[in-house]
Amino acid sequence: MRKRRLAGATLVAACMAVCLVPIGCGARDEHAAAPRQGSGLALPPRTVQALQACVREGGQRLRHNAYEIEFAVEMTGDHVTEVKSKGPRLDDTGVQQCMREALRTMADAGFSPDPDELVSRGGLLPTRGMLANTWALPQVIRLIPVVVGSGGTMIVVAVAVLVVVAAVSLNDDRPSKEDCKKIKQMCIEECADTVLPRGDDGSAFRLCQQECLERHGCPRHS
Amino acid sequence: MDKDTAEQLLVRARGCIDLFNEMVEIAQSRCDKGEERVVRHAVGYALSELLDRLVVPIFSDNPDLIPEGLDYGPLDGPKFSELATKMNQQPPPSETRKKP
Repeated sequence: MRKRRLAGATLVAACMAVCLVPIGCGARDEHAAAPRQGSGLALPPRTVQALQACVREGGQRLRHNAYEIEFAVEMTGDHVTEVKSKGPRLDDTGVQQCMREALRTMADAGFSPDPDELVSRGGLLPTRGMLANTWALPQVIRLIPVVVGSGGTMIVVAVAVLVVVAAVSLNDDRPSKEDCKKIKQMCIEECADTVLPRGDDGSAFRLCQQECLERHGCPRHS
Repeated sequence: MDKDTAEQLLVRARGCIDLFNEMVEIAQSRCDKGEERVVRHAVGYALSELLDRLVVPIFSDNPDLIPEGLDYGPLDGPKFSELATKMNQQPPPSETRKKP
């Protein structure tokens, strides 16, 4: 009976080793791979390299050997407007933040969603959403998950892209770049009146400024 | 820029922000409302520039340097390295003027 149990455990261990070797125990210490699942659309190589760099630089701070995380990337036109973490998170905020930043630049790295392809591959959300002054029909598409790892740590990174494909402006009163400069001045003064002084390295002031800009229809980084 | 340099700059920036806060506290306790607001706005503009042009771009390059528990919101906008590349590509106006 004991022998049989031991044999069973050995078999399981052997199977796990065989399954994990291609992604977790290669000849090289670092690895980045894209398993075959998902929509067929993939992250640009530069973004995968940036994700890999995040794990290379901060992977030693992670406590576990394997993670599966997901990000939701919101794109309007060809621009990434927001990156949110979804579901389980890494136990190191630095690596998590680094990955969000890597995904934030995925459009600059070459990711350009083809609306026709998105319509055929992605699912149309059942409800319309109101984004600022624009009624939008968002489309969600799941990219091929990427496996990044370093020093015995493996992270499966799943990315869902929310693309605003059809945007119909109800009114054309979004502030111009020039208007946003003036609005920023107003926001700075408003936040200086209400938030300062705060012993928090300026983070509350910055959040106040960003929320004020957004409230007035300007990009957070105006 | 290496991480040590980034840390050194952030320490100094934090020192500036502490001084900014002290300036507002002094104005709060010694000035009338109008004077206090002049100080607040001056500090607000300086703080905004320091955060937007230096601190946040450094954090964008080095997210692990963000102090624990502080939320600066999404780190959108250019990274420090991107700003530096742009600066290298655009010579300062004084140099362009020198050319015949």
